Amino acid sequence: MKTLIALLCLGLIAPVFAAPNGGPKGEAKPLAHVIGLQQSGANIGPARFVGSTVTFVYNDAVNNLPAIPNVEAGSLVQSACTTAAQQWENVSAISFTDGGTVATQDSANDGINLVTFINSATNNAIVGSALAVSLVFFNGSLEIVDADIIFNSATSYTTLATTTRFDIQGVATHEFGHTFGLNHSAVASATMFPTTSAGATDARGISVDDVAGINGVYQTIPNFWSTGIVTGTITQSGSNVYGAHVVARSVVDGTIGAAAMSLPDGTYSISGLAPGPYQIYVEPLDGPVADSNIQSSFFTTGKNTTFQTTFLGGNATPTTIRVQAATVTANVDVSLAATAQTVNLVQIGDFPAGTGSFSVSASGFEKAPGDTTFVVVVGPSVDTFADNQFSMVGQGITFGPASTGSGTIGSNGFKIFPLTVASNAEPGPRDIVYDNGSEMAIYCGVIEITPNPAPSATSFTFGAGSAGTAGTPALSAVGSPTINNASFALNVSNGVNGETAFFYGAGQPDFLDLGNGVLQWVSIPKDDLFPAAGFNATISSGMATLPFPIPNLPSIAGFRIYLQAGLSDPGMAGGVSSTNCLVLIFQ
Amino acid sequence: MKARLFLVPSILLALLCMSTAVSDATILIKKDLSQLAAEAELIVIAKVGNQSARYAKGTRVIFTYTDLTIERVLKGSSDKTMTVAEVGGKVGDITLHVESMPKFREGERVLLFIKKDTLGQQRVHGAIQGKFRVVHNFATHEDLVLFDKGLRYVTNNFFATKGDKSPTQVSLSEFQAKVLELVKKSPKKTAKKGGKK
Repeated sequence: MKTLIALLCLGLIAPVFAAPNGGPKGEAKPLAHVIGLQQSGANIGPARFVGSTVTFVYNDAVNNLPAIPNVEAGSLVQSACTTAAQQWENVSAISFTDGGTVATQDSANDGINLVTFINSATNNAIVGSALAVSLVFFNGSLEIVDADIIFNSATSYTTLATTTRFDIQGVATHEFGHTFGLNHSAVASATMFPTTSAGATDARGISVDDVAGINGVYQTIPNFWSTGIVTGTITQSGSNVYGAHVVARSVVDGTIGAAAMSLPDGTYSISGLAPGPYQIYVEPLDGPVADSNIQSSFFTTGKNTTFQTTFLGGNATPTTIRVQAATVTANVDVSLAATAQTVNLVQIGDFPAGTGSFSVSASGFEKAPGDTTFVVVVGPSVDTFADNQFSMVGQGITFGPASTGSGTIGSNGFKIFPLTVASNAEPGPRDIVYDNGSEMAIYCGVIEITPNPAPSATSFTFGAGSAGTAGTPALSAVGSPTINNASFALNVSNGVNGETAFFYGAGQPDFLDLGNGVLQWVSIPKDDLFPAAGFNATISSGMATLPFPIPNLPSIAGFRIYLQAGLSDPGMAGGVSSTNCLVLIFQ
Repeated sequence: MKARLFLVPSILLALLCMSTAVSDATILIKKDLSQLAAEAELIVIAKVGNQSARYAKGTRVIFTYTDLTIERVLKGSSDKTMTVAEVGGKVGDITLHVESMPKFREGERVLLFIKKDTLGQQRVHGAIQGKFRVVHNFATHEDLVLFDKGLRYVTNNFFATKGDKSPTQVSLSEFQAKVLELVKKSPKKTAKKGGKK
């Protein structure tokens, strides 16, 4: 890392910076939300296609819309469905082939993977009261031998984003997820979330949670080597807790890093986590995603929902855990009290106008950096809750603080909060939290921030520093990390005069408790923490500044580094204090 | 913005919400209790018996067939025993997995909304929305109907009280009474007048 900073300072930087979150800016961080199939209470793992390619064919009515009158004229059905399948292909080891059209109309275990919109006795008997149904036939080796998708012939569909019709591409993306072996997700902005609405097109693009899920079934080597796994057991009064939603939230930016469901033996495994610091929370399946939404896969009922949302380490001061690439962080166990949740958030609304009428649904929605809107939060008695007990988590978000309206919808209450998404907000799903001090309800990943298509250079901070003799040191940016900004610098405050500030940086965040309250937030070996010379500055008037000129190298656009400073401080145990972490994203 | 919003009374706002809300369709098309009561051809309280899976006649689709012993019929008519079919199950080495279909466990008591499908099979109407578990509270000697927390929309408007807007259970007697009331209110299918064909 010393070399890295040296190269940067000298304007000799080579493409050695780690890409943001393991990939180019805007690429989804991998999350895990794979729910294995179960029979007789035993986890048998997800079924999957085996082989080099997965070929689906379409009933030929997709190109003869008069034959499927529930589809809006002008819709491009086949291409919308193929695009949907390619969403999964683009982020996993799945190789999808559009096999063209066939005359076959009915779903059947016939070795033909079929997409059909045909109104027939067999299809109608299967689809019943569903928008669409995925049938997955698999053998004893969990190999999928046939998979079909039936769209309900009584439902109005479109590919033209008509608001009164259901979006074929969005529904197809969800259904292809099932046919590839995924179950439902309890992350509200995920494509595999079990609800959608007419006119909604959010499900067209898969979310970070979906990426993790599909890579859990069809792992790629780059994904394996660039992400980590967290495992543990959820218990309550000594008994294993089945069906708990276990979520990893990034300490860096507040995005949902991963999620999984605990199995009948109480164990869980969250894979696909980008390296870095995380907090783990456990929430009951008490809606909007509940037992009923995933019971088909578990074959058994009896999930435990009698507990309150609980963070590892406690809700007041959650524990931070360290996730490393290609590494299992094991024994991350959470013990739950047998106290039922009494508060809940069950629906959400995107209300840009902020006045007049709005609609709400259980599934989340997307917002782009720079967006402003009003968010309608719905749940039992929500209208009676104090405004300051609501928050939205993470970097680049301004939520509330005061509500702008409230009322009731049916048996639920609602409140309306203003939301501003900063232009530098990190992409990913964000939680909305209700916390009254004694109980917490989290709407998991309910709003997904999309990548900024025209990002600008930015910096933000996360993580706590450790207190020193002159207070808790803080690391901040002086200027913008714009390419060729020769005057850019790093500044440390609250240091002890005459002592030294040492600056460190890395391409990934990290978390290590070094003792004496010092937390390391950057991914460098402990032995390298205090270099003898080079990247340090003497503290004067409590401050130290390190010139950090940004080289004129367009190739570093989009890359980021994580920086922290350690300060010598003879008055402290261990002789040091430390700062927060500062993230620089170059443009 | 805040001032403008407060010009809209909460009650009016709520009414606007209800009148313009897009149906929050799940992968299932949502049905509430009144729709289930109106659309079901048969509503029964039953005990679950044996289950077996096979390919439905004339298809290559696996269904699981569950025997029921009928305790009470709330709508329609039924023999003392009947069989309901659900898509999915295991035949030989092959398992068919389909989301959101109801599952039964031998011995459980259920209240079911049933309708014949296009293959002529008796099916739970609305998939998982049309199945309710019935349990006996041995302390109060009361039969209870349990509501799934993920399906609140099915029952909330019918059993919410001021003290509990989203109950997770009601007594079987209260549930039966509400279902019978809804059946009575539901539009009758007018029989086509006979005539010579």
